[in-house]
Amino acid sequence: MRMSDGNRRNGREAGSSIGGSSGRAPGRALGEAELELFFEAARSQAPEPPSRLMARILADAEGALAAPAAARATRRRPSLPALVGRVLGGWPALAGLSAAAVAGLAIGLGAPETVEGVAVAVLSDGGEAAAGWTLETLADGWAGYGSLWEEG
Amino acid sequence: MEPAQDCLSDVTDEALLVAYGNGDREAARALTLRLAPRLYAHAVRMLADPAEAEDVTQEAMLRLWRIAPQWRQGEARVSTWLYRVVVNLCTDRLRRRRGVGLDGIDEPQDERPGAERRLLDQARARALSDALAELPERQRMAVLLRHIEGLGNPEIAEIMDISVEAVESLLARGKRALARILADRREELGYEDV
Repeated sequence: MRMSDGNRRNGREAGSSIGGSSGRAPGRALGEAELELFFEAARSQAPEPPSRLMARILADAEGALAAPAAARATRRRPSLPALVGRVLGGWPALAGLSAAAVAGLAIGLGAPETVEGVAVAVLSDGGEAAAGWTLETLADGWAGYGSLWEEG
Repeated sequence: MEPAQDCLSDVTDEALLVAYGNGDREAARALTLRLAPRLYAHAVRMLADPAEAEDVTQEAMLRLWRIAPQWRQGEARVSTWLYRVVVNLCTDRLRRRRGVGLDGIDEPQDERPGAERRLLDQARARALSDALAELPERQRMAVLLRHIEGLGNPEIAEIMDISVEAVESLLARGKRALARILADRREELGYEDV
């Protein structure tokens, strides 16, 4: 079989060898135009993807679109306690906050004894009573705090 | 599946991908019709195994679907990105099974009368496929991307993650080797008078 018309048009290139001398081929290496005929043939014989592959790809496309939507749907809004906990820093932070609240309450309940004593001393008639108010009076009042702390 | 037309032929690959990321299923169909056949053909030529080529093509397209919502426009061409994925997937598979030839490819049969030219093309394509199988992997890849897929050297460089000069070197060596190998088939394939 003879060379095609396309190869004749490129006769000058066809005559120029690409490979040069070689230990494996007995003949002269192919020229550019000859090699191009092989490429042309390969391009014309492109393997066609089977229809099942195209169907699988489209199914994947559908699935990939559905996946983020499903993820969004399952992501529920958090409850108020959970939201508060998350804002404050989780359960450890909430436990610390609770302990501080209890301590504050205890201090608040224990305070009136001392405050009352001081108030009576200050507000009672004349300077005598006021003069009777001493550090010991205050110290007695603070003794109540000691018992509170011991009780926890 | 019935053959379908890419009715969005005026729309760029990137615009289609963005549309798909926004939920447009027709854009996915257009992208599939446009890109999957090229990827599949390239994978078949690289792997010489249609079944593996199917898996590679599906995997590459799946990665495209997944990245669509985060696709950064203007950074890369969609086809270049896909070729790169296919090349990497093919490379991984080739490294797992060294030494397998191209004998697994079925010879397409054409029994229509007057198909002499087609038969010759089949013989040449087969000879080229056999010759390509003898090339080192990177040379084969570069030759396929340049001379079968018709890509430019800069794009091939991007796909293969090498310099343009390295692509030119791979192409030159690959074509020299092909020319030597195919010289053995000169008489068989009708080049005795050249």
